[in-house]
Amino acid sequence: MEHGHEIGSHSLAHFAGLTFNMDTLIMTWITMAIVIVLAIAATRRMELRPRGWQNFLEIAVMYLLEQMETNMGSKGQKLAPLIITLFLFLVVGNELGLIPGFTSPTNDINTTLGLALMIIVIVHVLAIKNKGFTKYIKHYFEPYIPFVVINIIEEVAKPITLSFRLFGNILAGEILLLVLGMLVPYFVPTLWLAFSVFVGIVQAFIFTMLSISYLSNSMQDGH
Amino acid sequence: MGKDKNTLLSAFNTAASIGFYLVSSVAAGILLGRFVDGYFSIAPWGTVWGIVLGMIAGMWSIYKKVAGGK
Repeated sequence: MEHGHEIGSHSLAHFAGLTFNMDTLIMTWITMAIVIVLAIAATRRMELRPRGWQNFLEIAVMYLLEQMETNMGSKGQKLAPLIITLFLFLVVGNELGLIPGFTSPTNDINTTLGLALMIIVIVHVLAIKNKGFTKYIKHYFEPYIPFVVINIIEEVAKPITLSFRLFGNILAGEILLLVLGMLVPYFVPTLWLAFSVFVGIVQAFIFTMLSISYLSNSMQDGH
Repeated sequence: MGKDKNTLLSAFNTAASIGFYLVSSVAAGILLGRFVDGYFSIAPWGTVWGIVLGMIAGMWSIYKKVAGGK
């Protein structure tokens, strides 16, 4: 099975003892380029009455800023660039796979797990920084000491939830698009394509919202 | 953006993630259980207890999400 469309398998490259999924890597670069171009296009000629890309980005940025304000308070503003970039990357990445010839970088578990681990590391670092090391350790033993095992499982589950939801939704969407295209061409795949656009945005939104909610827990001084 | 819309979106968010809390907690339990099995050579008890604790952890995180808001 080397020819034709294939989703879920990757062209591999080996370098310095590591294996790289080249298609994921290239699609990630393309996504990054699109995000950068989008950001530049939206901010180059800013107008008081936003039009075009500026309008689109302003809606997204304003909404995310509002969510951060509600969840984290004014302290959360520091994380705004991270959250907004994350959201834009995910939206563009999720929708990229719907264009024929491209695949989503997020249909690879390595990308989503990488993003999730990045968020979780920041969550723990911020928690130690804001609460202090003793309080950070103490919160694992709350409400009772035996809960330490459950709390640790919960922490391990966080990156799993974040990454597998996004990965599964995007991969399943692309596979179904391909299968429907073979079984019932034209009409049904078009409907599914439209739904996938929606799913891509919703999944990017859920990933970002969950990141905000995890981060907000670690931004609080006390627990 | 109205407050209602925010509440609606966060409710949507909660509903969309609750199922995953159960599954991923069990997955994390199995993962940790297998590690404990390998480390202390007590297979299969680590995995068994990992699954049980994972289920409890899933319930616990849903309880926290629903009751505590956080």
